[in-house]
Amino acid sequence: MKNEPLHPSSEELFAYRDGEIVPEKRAIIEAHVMGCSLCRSFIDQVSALEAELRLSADRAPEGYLEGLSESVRARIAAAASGVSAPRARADAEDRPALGAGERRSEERSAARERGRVKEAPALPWAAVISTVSAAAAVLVVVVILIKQGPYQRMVTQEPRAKAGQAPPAIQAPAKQRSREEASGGAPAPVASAGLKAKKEHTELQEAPGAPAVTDEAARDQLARRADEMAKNKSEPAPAQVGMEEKAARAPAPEEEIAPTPGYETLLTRYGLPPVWNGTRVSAEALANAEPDLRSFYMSGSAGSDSGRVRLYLAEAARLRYAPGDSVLYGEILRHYRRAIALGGPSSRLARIAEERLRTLER
Amino acid sequence: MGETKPDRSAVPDAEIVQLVLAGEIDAFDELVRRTRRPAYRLARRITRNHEDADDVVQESYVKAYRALSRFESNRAFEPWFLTIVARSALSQIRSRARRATVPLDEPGADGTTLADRIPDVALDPVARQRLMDAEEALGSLPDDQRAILALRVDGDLPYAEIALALEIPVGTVMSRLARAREALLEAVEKRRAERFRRTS
Repeated sequence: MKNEPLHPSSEELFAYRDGEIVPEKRAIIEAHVMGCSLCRSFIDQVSALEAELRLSADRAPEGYLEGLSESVRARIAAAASGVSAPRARADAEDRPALGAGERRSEERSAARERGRVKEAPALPWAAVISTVSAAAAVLVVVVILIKQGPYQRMVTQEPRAKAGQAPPAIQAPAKQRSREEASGGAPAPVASAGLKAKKEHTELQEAPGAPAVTDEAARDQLARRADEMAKNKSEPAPAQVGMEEKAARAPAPEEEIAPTPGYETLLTRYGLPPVWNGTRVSAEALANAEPDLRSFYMSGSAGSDSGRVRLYLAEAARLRYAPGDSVLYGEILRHYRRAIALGGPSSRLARIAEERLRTLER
Repeated sequence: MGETKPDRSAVPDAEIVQLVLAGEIDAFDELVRRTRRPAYRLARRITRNHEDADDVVQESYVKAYRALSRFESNRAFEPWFLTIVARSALSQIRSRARRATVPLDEPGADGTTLADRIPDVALDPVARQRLMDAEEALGSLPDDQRAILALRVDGDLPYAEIALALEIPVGTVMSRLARAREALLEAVEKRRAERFRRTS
């Protein structure tokens, strides 16, 4: 008795069905399928299933596809600032990122979109990390030396030695130092505070029109006045004041970027700053704004503001979040990650999102 | 602003690409219009949520725009673009530390459930259930199987394009696709058998 002909493999059957079979096999497979109800049924089952999947393909939210061109244009404009026409890029450009460096790759890709990073060579991360660690260790040692070691004594003793007596201003930074030590803050810039107090002391002595300091009592009086001035100015420390003023004057980079009109309208409606800020955004405003922010994002109109909107959505979701809610956790995580990637490495947006992500309890 | 855009709906892809390369940036809108639906469909199928799909689609258009000078004029734009979408979507799901463990029938971040996403084409409950079975079965497959099925079923890409998108040989596409289809069939049959057992 002649053996039953072998059935073609499923690869061959599907390739035949997809019109991808090599011509020399086509006639053979076709002849088999015509005469084999088992193979025909197998192909029909899969075809029916795929037809069902095509029918039920995920639909985009209302209005999303219609608004897509605009969003894409905004993204391209942001990415191609300074580039008027498309140009050839490295082949790696549109290849999916693989392996452990994917997050970095994603960030680089998002940054490239904004034209901030152009084919930056990959850094030798091991070397960078070890260098940064060494620098951090040196910094810690220096801070400890300043706080407890001979440097502090030098700093506190130097003005005393030069002024002939201890200017009271030196005591103020010492108080401030203890406050900062208690709060775990950075060490106060003792040297500059002490030197400034010394300078003020000198200025008082040298101020035009000031009576000449001839006796001990007058010197004491001047010292007390210098002490008061130093006390008034010792909180925050002069260097800190400078930094804070500078920060207040210079808006953060993300805030410099003008929001798109749609985003700006939303911000105005709910009194929100362009970038989420824990001290400036109330929970109530955030909760009220969330549905509109979500719709705005879903409509695909967020464009270059996508990262900032993502940060807001993460924070809004956090208002409802309780540890253990794995679904909401996943959503928040996704929002933060995209905010980080879209903000680009070392951006303020990415820093805020990273910091917030660190405090998110699972 | 009453500026009307020229109707380019009948202009071949290659000509539109040439227009964009010549500096008519607006012509790129036409390419977006032509491909946005399959692109979103493919991205969403692979990423399984709207937000990631949106990111993938927009990112892919930016990549395509930048790489337009490498587009071969003898090809159609859509399959070329869909391979970019597929790569971006795969990259997105690979980089996700925590895979989508949200059951498909629970509301996603966009508030829609799987049932919401199934179109109301006057389906009777049985047909609707069959669609849901198919969707759930697809969702239960591993990422790589779901991706290759999405490329073939939703992207309607030929094997050669799938091979390009996944950076694998065509022979591997054949075998992976066959395994994925078998797995899908098995998953659907399992679901339907369980339902039958429960109701009978």
